[in-house]
Amino acid sequence: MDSVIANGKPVAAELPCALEKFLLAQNLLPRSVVVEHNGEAVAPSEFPQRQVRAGDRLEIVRIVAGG
Amino acid sequence: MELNNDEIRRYSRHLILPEVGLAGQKKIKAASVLCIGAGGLGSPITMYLAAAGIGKIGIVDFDTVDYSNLQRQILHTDADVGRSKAESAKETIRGINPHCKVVIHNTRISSENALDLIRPYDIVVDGTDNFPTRYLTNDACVILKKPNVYGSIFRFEGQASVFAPHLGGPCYRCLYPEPPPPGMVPSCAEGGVLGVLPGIIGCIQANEILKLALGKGTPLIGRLLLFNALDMKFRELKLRRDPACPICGDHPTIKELIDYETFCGIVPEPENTGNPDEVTVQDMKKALDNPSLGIKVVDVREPDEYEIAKVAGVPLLPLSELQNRFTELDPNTQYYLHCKAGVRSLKALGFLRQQGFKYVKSVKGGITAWSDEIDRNVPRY
Repeated sequence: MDSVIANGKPVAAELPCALEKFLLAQNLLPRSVVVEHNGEAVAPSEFPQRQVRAGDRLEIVRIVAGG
Repeated sequence: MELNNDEIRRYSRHLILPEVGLAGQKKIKAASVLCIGAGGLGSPITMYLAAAGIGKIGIVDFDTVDYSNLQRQILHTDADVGRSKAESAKETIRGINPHCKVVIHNTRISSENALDLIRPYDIVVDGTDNFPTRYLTNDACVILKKPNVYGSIFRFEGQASVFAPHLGGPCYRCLYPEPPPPGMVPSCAEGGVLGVLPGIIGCIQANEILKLALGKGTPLIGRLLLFNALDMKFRELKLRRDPACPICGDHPTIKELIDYETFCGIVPEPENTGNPDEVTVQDMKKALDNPSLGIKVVDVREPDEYEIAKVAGVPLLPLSELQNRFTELDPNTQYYLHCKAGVRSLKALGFLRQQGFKYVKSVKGGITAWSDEIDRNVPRY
């Protein structure tokens, strides 16, 4: 299986696929994460169209609310 | 806006910085900041802003100081336990800098009062601890075109940014358009937080506020700064305004404040009519005192918590292991499940029901209620 580098670590996934689908496959809520794709900011409304390919770099941050 | 001789002495280390100087210190004095929440983040934020000479600091907090706050909320002291956080904060800040005007709002920020609370201030800082208030703060700031200096923390990790769509950056909803379902993201009360973490993130927020007041440096707009205390690493993510953002996008659908509790899926507890899935700690005591009733009590917390506090005679079956170990339980036996406060035991109940367990109840308030109402010797954590 192909993989991407997510937060510095290789993650296997069925690629290429939409970023939205990738996040769901990782058990992440697409509306509750911030994603940088190959060094670019990605708005949540772009997740369904944005294609993730083998070897891409993703930075993914989950929402937290503590204060 | 002038500085008297006392203030000139007090701020001398600022005044000799070319980037601040007398003109900059006057800007700091002219600035007003509303801090929402006088807790972990609100502590360093308000204390450093007061020390730095911010002219007016508003504090919104309806809560009272709890013993478990003192590990990180340095605004409050041991003697303040039980007092209003807003009152306690005011006293601490006045002690740091009597030149700072402190306005306290001993109230819960809501859709009804948020715009009036925020309107008189130049800058808003988000030091809240829950999703409804974060969305409310964001939306009110977008509507009023106020910069919202954001910070949030959990366990060993923190995030900070400056949301200011009116200055070209994104807002909170451009990052997180919708809240996670209730219970999906644990709070610090459920998951814990390292005491110094809000100190670090709160200082970053205070730093951004001073830069905004001075109009100097590069603000944290369009960037999400992330901090990991265990790795001692910072990283930064680029952010962008989402044209589809429901509040600051090109075609906003939210034009006024909404009901944020409902938006975040929080259903108010029906008054007087208890949840039929729940029993009280008194019921749990009866079950433990009378084995002939045939009711078994099970603790679904994690082993580390069990080590801190437990009720004698109650076995542990952590929620995290329930999926693999539920066969150790008998689907025809009656069980009372308890956790720390009653949230995870309801989750465990939901899972066991799906597996065909018919007679499962969740203990309302968990071991915390047990400690409060049945046995004070069980430590409250």
